[in-house]
Amino acid sequence: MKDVGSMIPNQYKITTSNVNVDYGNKRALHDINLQIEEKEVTALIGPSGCGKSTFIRCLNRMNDLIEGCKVEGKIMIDEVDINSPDTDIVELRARIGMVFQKPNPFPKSIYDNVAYGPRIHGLAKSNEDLDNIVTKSLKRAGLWNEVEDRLDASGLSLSGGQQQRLCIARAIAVNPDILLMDEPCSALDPIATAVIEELINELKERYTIVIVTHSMQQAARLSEKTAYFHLGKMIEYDITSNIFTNPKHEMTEAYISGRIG
Amino acid sequence: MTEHINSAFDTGLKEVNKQIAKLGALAETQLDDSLTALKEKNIQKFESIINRDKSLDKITADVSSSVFELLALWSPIAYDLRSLLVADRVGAILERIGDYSKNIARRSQVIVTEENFDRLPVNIIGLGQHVQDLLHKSLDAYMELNIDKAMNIWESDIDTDRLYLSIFKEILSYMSENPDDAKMLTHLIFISKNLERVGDYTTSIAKQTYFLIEGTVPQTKRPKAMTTF
Ligand SMILES: Nc1ncnc2c1ncn2[C@@H]1O[C@H](COP(=O)(O)OP(=O)(O)OP(=O)(O)O)[C@@H](O)[C@H]1O
Ligand SMILES: [Mg+2]
Repeated sequence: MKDVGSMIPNQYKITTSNVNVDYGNKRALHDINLQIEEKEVTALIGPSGCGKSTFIRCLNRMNDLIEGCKVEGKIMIDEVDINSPDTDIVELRARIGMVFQKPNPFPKSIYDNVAYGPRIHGLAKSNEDLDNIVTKSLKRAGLWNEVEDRLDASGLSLSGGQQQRLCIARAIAVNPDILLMDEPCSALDPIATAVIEELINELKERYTIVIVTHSMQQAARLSEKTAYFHLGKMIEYDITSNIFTNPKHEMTEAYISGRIG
Repeated sequence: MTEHINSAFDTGLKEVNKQIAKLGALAETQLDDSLTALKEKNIQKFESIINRDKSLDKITADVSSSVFELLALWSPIAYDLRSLLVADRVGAILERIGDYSKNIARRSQVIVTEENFDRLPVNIIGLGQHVQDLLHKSLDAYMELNIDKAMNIWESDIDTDRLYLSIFKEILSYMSENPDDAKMLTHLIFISKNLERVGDYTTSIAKQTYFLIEGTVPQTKRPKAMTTF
């Protein structure tokens, strides 16, 4: 008889079950169970070293690239077990865009930065197709108006905030459905931060977004759900407004309000 | 709740709470004096109640501006945010209680000189003492963050309603028999209505205390003895 459980469609975009991560013999994440809703922003917060980046890297198997890092447990994205041997990792990474703390454009033209992914994934049938993808991605990233007349200029010639939006354009050019962002605004001034935040607000109409941030206000402003991590454990996961008005766990309250925990 | 890593917010909040404690003590004094003065027909006391009202207004304004500044500088969340919101609201409530006491003094000033004043059968002082007791207990609940005390206040508001209602009826029936005293009796109705309002405000303090501690408002509906008058 068929297992009934497997016939129920997974209602979450991402589900992690009992995820443990070790670096060598040091455990960095303990039994993380988290359900991430589609087309929502989920914020991961917690003190430095609590495992936020480690967790977010599990979601696109970036930890595979780290020597000595071992991931256990199950991570489902839609109906796919991403750690199963059948999963094509190149395809997986194309479905999941990632933006890092420090904007890291390639030392290439603005155009090529965005065109890079679609080219390697063979997403464009013609040059015109590629032009369209680049234009659309830059528009969605809110950068088009600032760069349309200098697509040949180096990505590195842009300001920090523009570079970060270029990286977002690069991430969405391959048409992912999930965007992972690890402290995307920590190197930006308040205006550039507000621009990115507004962008994230628009992007969540199309993408499921997981964002790591050290700014409590940013998590509060941007996300629907917030998860609080502490020493490799997930302490509390709830609707963001609950976390910031009335957290259930004392450790969460101590952290978000800057108390001695 | 543990201390903040950066102590400046705690220092600011402590200062706000000290101001609220002072305001609470002043509001209690104003209410007590207005009742004593009414009982003693003490004209001088009425004057000093009316003059003292300004200092309550001043402290309330100070609390508000400190709260505003702390909100702007610290963007507090969760309990910290509630502490400030509640301090500001309790400040405003205490100021209103001060206003009611002043109004009681003003009206009393007019009626204590009436020749039939001493023959009035109404137990307005009894209502006053009941409300005083509630005010004291609600401030205790707030200062001590005592949720049980807060809920007790919440529930005893019905007694205030009952006391007020019986005084109101007494005054009405007395008025129909003594129409010449209508002016005095009308003032008396307003005085007892003021006291009933003060009672209501003490339940607001209790409700704010509950909200401060729990982060939600009490679920049970407050018992009520009347809806009009
Ligand atoms: N490549 C690595 N090799 C060994 N240990 C690592 C590695 N990366 C992270 N760790 C350890 O795993 C734990 C979690 O680190 P992680 O970088 O995930 O934390 P974080 O929450 O992202 O911190 P931060 O807020 O400082 O970015 C830490 O104890 C860290 O020292
Ligand atoms: Mg990190």
